[in-house]
Amino acid sequence: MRDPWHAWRAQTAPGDFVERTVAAIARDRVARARTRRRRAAVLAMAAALVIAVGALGWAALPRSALTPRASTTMTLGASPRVEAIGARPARPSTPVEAPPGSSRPVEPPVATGFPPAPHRKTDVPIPSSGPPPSRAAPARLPRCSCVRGICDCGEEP
Amino acid sequence: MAVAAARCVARVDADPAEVDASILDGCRAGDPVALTAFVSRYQHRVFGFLSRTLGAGPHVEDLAQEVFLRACRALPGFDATGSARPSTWLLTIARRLVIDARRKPRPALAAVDVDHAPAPETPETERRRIEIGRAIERAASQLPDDQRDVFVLAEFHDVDQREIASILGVPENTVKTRLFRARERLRALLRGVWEDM
Repeated sequence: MRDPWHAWRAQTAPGDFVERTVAAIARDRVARARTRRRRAAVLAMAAALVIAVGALGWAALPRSALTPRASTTMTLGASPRVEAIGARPARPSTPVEAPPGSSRPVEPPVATGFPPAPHRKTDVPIPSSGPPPSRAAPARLPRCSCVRGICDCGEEP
Repeated sequence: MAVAAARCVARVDADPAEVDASILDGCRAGDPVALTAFVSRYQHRVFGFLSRTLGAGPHVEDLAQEVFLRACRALPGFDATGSARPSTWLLTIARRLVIDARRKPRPALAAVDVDHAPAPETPETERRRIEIGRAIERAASQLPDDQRDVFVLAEFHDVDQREIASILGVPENTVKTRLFRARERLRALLRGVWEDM
C-alpha cells in the first residue's frame, strides 16, 4: 500500500447535497436581503421620529426661553443694575406705600417729557451683611418711564 | 484593477483544483449555476475535513452546509488576489465550525460509515484496506484535537505547513511540532497494523 493513511476514508456527501445547499444559500440570501430592508426601514423611521420630535419641541419652545432672562439677573444682586442716565431720579429702593390714615393714592411716576435716555450698566456691590428682606415687605413697584403721556408700564400718567 | 484581475484569473486558473474567478464572481452575484459549481468542487474536501476531525455522522452534513452558507455570506470580502486559495479559505471556515462543534456537548452517535462497510463480494485487498482505515480512525480519535487537525490537513488536503499555520492561526513551527508528534503517536498506536502494511 503506497499511502497507508488514505485507507482512512472520509464520509462522502449525499447525492442531493449540492442541490439542497444551493437552495439553502438562495433562501439565506433572500432572508438576509429582507432583514437588511427591514432594518433600513426601522432606522429611517427612527431617524424621522427623532427629527419630528426635535422640530415639535423647537416649535413649542417659548420665545422668552430663547432670550436671556433679564428679570432673573436683576434680582440676584451680583449682576449689574441698569440705570438711566440723565433721566428723572430713580425711585427709592424702599417701597412706596400710602400713609396708614391717608386716602391719597400713591403718586404716579412723573412724566419727564424727554425720550428715554440710554442705559448703562453699573456694578452693584454684593451686600455682604445685613438682614435678609422680610417676607412682610410690600412688593416693589416696577419702574415706569412715560413719554408724552404714554407709559411703558401701562399706567396712566 | 485590470492587472489585479488578470493576476487573480491566472493564479486561480493555474490550480485546476480551485474554481476560477468567474465562478467566484457568479457566487457573489447569487448565480445558481456558479453556486452549484462552487459547492460541487469543494464538497468532498469539506466533508473529508469535517468527518475526519469530528467523526462521521449526520452532523457532518449539517456542518458542511453551514460552511458553504458562511462562505457565501463572506464571499464579497474574500480577496481572490490574496495569498489564500479558496479551498484554504473554506477550510478556515470549516475549522472554526469544528471548534464550535467541539465545545457543544454532542449526543453519542452511531457511526455512519458507508465507505468502510464491506461489499458482499470484497476482494482481500479491499478488506485489508478497510481494516487499516478503521485502525487509523481509532488511533486518530486518540490524538489531541490540535494534533488531529494538523494531521488531517497535512495528510489529506495537500495543504503546506504555511497554509496550515494560516488556517489554524498558529506559528509555522507549532504546526511542525504538532505534525511530528501526531505522526509519532499514530505510528506508536498503529505499530501492529503498520508492520503489515
